[in-house]
Amino acid sequence: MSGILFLAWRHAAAHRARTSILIACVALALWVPWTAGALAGQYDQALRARADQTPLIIGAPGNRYDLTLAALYFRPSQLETVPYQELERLQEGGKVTFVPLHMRFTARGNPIVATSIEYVEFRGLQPVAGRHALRLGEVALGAEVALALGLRPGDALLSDPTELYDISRPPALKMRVAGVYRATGTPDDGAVFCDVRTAWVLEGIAHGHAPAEGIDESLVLSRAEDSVAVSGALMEYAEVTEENEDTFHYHGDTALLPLSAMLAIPASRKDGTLLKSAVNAAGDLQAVTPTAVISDLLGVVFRIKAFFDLVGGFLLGTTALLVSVVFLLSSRLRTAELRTLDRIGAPRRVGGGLIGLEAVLVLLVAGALAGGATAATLRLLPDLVSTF
Amino acid sequence: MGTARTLLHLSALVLAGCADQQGSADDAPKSSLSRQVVAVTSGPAELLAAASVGQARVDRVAPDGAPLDRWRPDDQALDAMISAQRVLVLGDEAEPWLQRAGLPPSRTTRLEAAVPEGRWIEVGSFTHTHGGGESHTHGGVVAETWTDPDLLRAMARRSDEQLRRALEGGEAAPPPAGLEGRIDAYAAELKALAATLDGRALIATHHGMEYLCRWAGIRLEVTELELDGSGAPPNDAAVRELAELAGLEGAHAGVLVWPGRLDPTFAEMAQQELGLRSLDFDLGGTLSDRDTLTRLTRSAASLRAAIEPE
Repeated sequence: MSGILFLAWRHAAAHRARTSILIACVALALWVPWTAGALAGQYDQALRARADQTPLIIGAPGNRYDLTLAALYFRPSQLETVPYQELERLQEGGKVTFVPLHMRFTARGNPIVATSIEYVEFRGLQPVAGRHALRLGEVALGAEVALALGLRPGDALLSDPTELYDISRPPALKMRVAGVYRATGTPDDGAVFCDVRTAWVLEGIAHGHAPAEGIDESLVLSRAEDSVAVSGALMEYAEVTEENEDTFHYHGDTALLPLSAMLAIPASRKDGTLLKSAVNAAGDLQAVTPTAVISDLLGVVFRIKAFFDLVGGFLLGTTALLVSVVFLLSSRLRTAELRTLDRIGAPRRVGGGLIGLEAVLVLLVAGALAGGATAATLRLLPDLVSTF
Repeated sequence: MGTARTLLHLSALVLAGCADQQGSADDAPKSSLSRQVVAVTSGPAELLAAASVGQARVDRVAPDGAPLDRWRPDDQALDAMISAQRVLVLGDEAEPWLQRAGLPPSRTTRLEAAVPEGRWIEVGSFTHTHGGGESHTHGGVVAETWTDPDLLRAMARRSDEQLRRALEGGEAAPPPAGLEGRIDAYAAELKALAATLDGRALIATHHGMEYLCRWAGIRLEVTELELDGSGAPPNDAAVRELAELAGLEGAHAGVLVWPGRLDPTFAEMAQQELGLRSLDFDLGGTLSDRDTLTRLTRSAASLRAAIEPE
């Protein structure tokens, strides 16, 4: 056996170009489906893990995929908002913890997730520097955001203006970095966290300014005994500082302050089921189970993947046929060699064994190359789930 | 040999690739609420929390005497509140810092939610708008709702229901002697005060007594004196108003009640020039060595004793 192996090896080495091309073709034909399969498996696992950890999401009626993707992965969406009083009303029930979410703004392209301390506790976010953002105007950064922007506690981060040329919109808010969270390998690493009240400042619903009674007369449009109308030119603070923090207040009914969605964390499965039924029956909100929504979404994706798997299978099959043709033609070219072997007394099967072993060697090397390339691809690709 | 080396390298690459590609998501344990306590920042909250779960499980996070409308929690106080099983607060009207601090909504009980919409008292409101935006009223709502015995009972029911539910399962200390009885005693003291006044008005420097006066049917005249404690004279309009009120003999009880901090300089002036004897009335809003009900009841009793005919 070792003699045939030696001959097969030497023949392959003597025809380097042909052998290399064959190895490359087989490796490529294996690499594509293996990588796609591994990636799909990773996405499936990671996306489901995120969804499995989140019992329920509640939001305005509408597209449930948008709601789920926005709440879990902070994807931009055009969701209708939910008034804060709905969270307070639902919270009165006591058996479910509701976590507010507001995701309508960005800071240097990163989503600003305005929420409450319960979100941080629920997701297990731990500060690796500084502390949680508990005050108006403070933010805590996900690990990737801090790394990409080179920020740490004490630094400042500006929100992105929503309408660059609309001076009636609130200006960008200069926020203080209170802390940086440890990396979790989830979309939380790519987010900027703050308290939900800071989002209301970004919305322009809450702001701070000098007392209305003491404002420069040139900015006063009209004045009566118990009221004053102030010009929109009055400069609103673009930063919450220790000096001006006490002046910040809300306009309008605070119960109507907007949220993008809420996470619902029930004490038991039964409480979750009852809550979901009650919310969906009422009709003014919708409650979705993230696992079910993501399964639906992945089902569509994997149906498409199945098609590409089929195409990959054809590719592999075609490659196999072409490789077979090459070896077949090669065996014709080696007729003299095989006749020599026969004449020196080698068994009949040696000829077939030589070609077969050479094919096996090519497959093994190609397989190893494809495996290595797949592993390298998976290592080099960015974590697309956390940046989903 | 060269080919063998190449194969070895390839095998190493495959083995390296088979290693774990990315760190798994940090399996950080979710932070646990290790403090089975109720955090409080005001006198009324402490009173009601102690009545529900016992004083031992009440954690004061504001310093004694810190004024409700001006106190702002530091980082330590915020950490104490978010790590407590429950935070009991009055609400945005009495404690404006709540609008700027990120307390956990699921663990925060606001006593003001127990006050029905139509029971709030608004005085001296100042409305403003910004450009074409929505109007907003500043400073017009009187925050001292706990001084009304009926509203205090409603707050007690709300806090009791929420606190017992949140802390059940923890070791229960016996709550102090019945809150209902003590509120009844306070209410009786207010009725006695009203009877002693017999239709005469009380003159006060601050709107803080609005709710207890409304409950007891006592007429209240407020002058809104603005004193900065430096001895400088107060606002002229308030002084004129005070003088006019003082001049109405028989229409008032002859006392100037200070629900806020008593200014000795002005108190002496009011005594000498207007014949008004100044009296402190502790509304029990801040944290102190004595609880809110004790302070309210004693203040009402002292005021009654001061205006009773000799």
